[in-house]
Amino acid sequence: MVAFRNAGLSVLLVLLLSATGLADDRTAADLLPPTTILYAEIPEPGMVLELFESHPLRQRIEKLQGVRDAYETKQFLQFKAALAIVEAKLGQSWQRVLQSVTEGGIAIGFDAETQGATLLVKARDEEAAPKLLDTIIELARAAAKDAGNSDPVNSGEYRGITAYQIDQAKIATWGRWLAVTNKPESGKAVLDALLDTPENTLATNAQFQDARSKAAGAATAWGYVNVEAIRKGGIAKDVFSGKTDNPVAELLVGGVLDTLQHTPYVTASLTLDQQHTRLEFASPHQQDWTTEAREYFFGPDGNGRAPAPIQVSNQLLALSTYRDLSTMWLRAGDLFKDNIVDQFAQAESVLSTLFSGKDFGEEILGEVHPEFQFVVARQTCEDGTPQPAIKLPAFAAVFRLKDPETVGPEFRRTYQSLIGFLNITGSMNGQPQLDLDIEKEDTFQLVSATYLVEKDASPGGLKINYNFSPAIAFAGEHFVVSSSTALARELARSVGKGSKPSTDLNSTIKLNVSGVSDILADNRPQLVAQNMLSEGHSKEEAERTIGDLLELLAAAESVSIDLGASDGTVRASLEIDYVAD
Amino acid sequence: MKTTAIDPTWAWLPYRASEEQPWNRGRAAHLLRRAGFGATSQEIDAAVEKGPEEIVADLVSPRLDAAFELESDAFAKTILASGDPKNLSAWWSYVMLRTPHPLLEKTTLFWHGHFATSAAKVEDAETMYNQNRLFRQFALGDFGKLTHAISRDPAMLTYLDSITNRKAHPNENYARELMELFCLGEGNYSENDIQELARCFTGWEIRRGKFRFNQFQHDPGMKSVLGHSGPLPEGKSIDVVLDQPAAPQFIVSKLIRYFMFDEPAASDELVEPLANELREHEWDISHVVRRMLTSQLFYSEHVIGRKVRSPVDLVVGLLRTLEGSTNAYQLGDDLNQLGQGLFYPPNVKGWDGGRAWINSSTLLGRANVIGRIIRDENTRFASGNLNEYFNRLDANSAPAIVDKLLELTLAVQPPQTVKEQLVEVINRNGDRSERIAEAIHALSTIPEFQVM
Repeated sequence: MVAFRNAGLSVLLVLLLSATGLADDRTAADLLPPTTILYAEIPEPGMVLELFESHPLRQRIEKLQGVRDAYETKQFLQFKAALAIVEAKLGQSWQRVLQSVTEGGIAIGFDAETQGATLLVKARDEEAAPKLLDTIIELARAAAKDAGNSDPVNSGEYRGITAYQIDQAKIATWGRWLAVTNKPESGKAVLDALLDTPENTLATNAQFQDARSKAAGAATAWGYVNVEAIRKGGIAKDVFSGKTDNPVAELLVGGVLDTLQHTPYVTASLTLDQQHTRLEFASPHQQDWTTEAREYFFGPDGNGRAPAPIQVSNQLLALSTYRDLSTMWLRAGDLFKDNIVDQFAQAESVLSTLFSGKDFGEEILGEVHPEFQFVVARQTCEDGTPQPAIKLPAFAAVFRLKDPETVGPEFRRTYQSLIGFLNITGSMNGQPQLDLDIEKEDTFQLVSATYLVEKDASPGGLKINYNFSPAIAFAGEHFVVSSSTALARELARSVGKGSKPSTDLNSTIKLNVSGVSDILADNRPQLVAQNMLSEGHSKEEAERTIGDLLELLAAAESVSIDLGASDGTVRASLEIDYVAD
Repeated sequence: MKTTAIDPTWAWLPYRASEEQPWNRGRAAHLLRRAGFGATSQEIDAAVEKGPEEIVADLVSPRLDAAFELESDAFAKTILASGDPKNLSAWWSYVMLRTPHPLLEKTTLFWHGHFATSAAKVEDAETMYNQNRLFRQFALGDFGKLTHAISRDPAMLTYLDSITNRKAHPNENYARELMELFCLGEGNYSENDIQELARCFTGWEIRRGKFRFNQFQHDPGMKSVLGHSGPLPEGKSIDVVLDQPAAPQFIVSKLIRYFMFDEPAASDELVEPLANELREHEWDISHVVRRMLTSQLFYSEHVIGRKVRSPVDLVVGLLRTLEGSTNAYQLGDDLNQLGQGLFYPPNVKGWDGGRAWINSSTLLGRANVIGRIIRDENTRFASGNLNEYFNRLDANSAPAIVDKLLELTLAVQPPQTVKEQLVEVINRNGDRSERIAEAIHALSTIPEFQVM
């Protein structure tokens, strides 16, 4: 019984924490203090609930064997029984409880002054919130009694309003509002606002108003972070320090760090519907906030644009971006922490040797236009190429050369030297050898190397090396370097047809989820074996787990990430498109 | 010290249940611990029902489950695709936990320690796996054929720096170890025998991971090995070594130490009857193992509780006993940490075993590993937690759980005070599964838990 009541209390808290509400016409921002630095709201929780109930993803998840098994567990059956008790007490289904309690919206804020987090729920009418609070209190008391503990509920009066404390949570209702907070000062501030309608609130804060005015219209949820206050508070110093120790992160989002060092706020908007999920972050942005060291990111005038993404067959991922790699390399000392700068120096030394003594940052990367593309594609081995036991995707980078006639031969020589070096070290370690080849078509030249298959090698079970047939290609001003000859050839043909207009974004990434699913399916025996070893599962259990993973991935079609700066705002978005049923 | 006190005639007579030495759950559990990696309560029930002869016959001549063999082989090949020999430790740990043929696996482990070869030097996962298959193929079969096969095994020859062996400079490593560690033991050969035997192996090479006989580098001249003279080509020299009287004596004494008792060393008189039988049965290991596991000696106080648990016996044994499954990668690492890394023996002598497993440092390490494994989030017992597991065995109260635990895991029962302390641990407030885990952790620290 104790377990049931505890679960019942949990259910109610879950209902509360996932809810939204109603009408006097004040919003949560009207009740929170102007010193609130983190704020998030769901204006129409009822709509979210309906979407949750009918979403194709949920239906797909519920069909998974692992989820069906979870529904049969003792814990879930206990949860269901507790839910039934709550529904009986409130006289309606949990969905209706949630809708009535949260009809006016739900919001949460964190106040820097009191260090308190406050959850505000606006109910449909003045009866719903107190009724829910009474049920919470009743269940908490019953659970404590069953456990032989003393009454866990304390109460007190503040300006005629009764407030309750259960564990660390302070709860009160007034009119259609229900407030939960962890700090008494935060609770008092909200109750004061409810009773007095103060002049200064979060809603009247100019910065918040500016952020609010730029919010997209129909977001399912919206959030605001006062970055200026966080910066001044000395929190997350590393984020604002300007130097990183992660070159990949710098390459992908380094320019945003400059913005974060100056911007007053960041907003986040989440939009959900049956076919899409979109999360967008936005922040004010000024070109003069970008330091010289990071001009490589947005370009000297802030208008660096990513080239139009290339499409290839069986594509898994395409990244297209504006980046001046030469400037980034030469500015490494201003961008990275000392240990990373040392590694850049070592890399410079090795790469200069490889490129016949040329300065890698200036003379090699400097010959490349400030843009590049990165493509990952599934390998099908349909063209008769050897099949390795573990099937890895192929990947390639595409650059645009400033002077292809001059640097092309240089790159070709370097590639041939590298293959020769790999063959020598490979033979010392008993690895298969690479065979060089050159092919020409009207629009491109391809230089490739393919691993020779040993006479007694088992077909379909070759070493992991056979995923690679490194190649470079020259197509007009484009230079392709690829892990696979087939991908290099396809990319060279594609770019050889001429360039499309650039995007209006700084960077764009698109992940084809069904392609990821295909490549996992290609390696299913390996995934099952890994699961057996790492989870201790039997083969049947492992097959089921991997099957569920593939089934779940099959729900999504693509994931896109875009980054761009325009109209005084920098925007980053993540969008998931689901497979239409 | 030698076991002169044990009468060989009495020792090797078949065990017959009697009032003094009844065939009961304790003796059945002893058999299944020694001939495998521990047994579940149900397996002990089945063994009691069948009797020692039938259960040993099943163990020694397992009806191979074709589906399991195929699955295991496919599983291994999948692991090999990664090319990392460290994954093999995880693979073998998993196989030991789940195999329906525990004696076959335990004997495979014996040969791995006997013909010790480490992936640390060989480096190639497939080469190590092929050697492991070889051990499994001959584990309970013909030792003579196994010795011939291991002499051409790429992993072994790579490990002993014998991938090239030229007549101008014969490599003595394999010749020395064949006589000293693999077939005869010290004192049964001379330095001259080593040099002559090394000449027999000239031209035996490993090329691109495979054995090759290079006739141009073979010394075809006359040799004299252990009193036999001639060109001794194509492995005839190995037969000369195997024909030595010391050979079956050496192998049987190692098998006695592995399956029966660590100390004292078996006397020549005790070893001789089985050594003779091994020769008579043309090196059939299964015959000798069957004779040991059905002997009067095996079920006597000379054997029960007289072996120190190796890390594999300790960890895999506990998990198999409680129908446990866990993260095999971590399990492989744990075994390595405790000094018995699968595919990574410390040197060509293999693991010393016996008392060498135990010192103040390893004792703490063994208990810590047990404590970690039973609390690992991936460890499950018959797909559930410990409380659910003991409930399934109808052990619901703390005393019942302790009784069941001790019966399943210990060959020698601890003092009553230990039992009372374990009951007290389980009866403490808090999650029952965690309390049982704590009791097992505590149990793993006592001396009785270290032997079997």
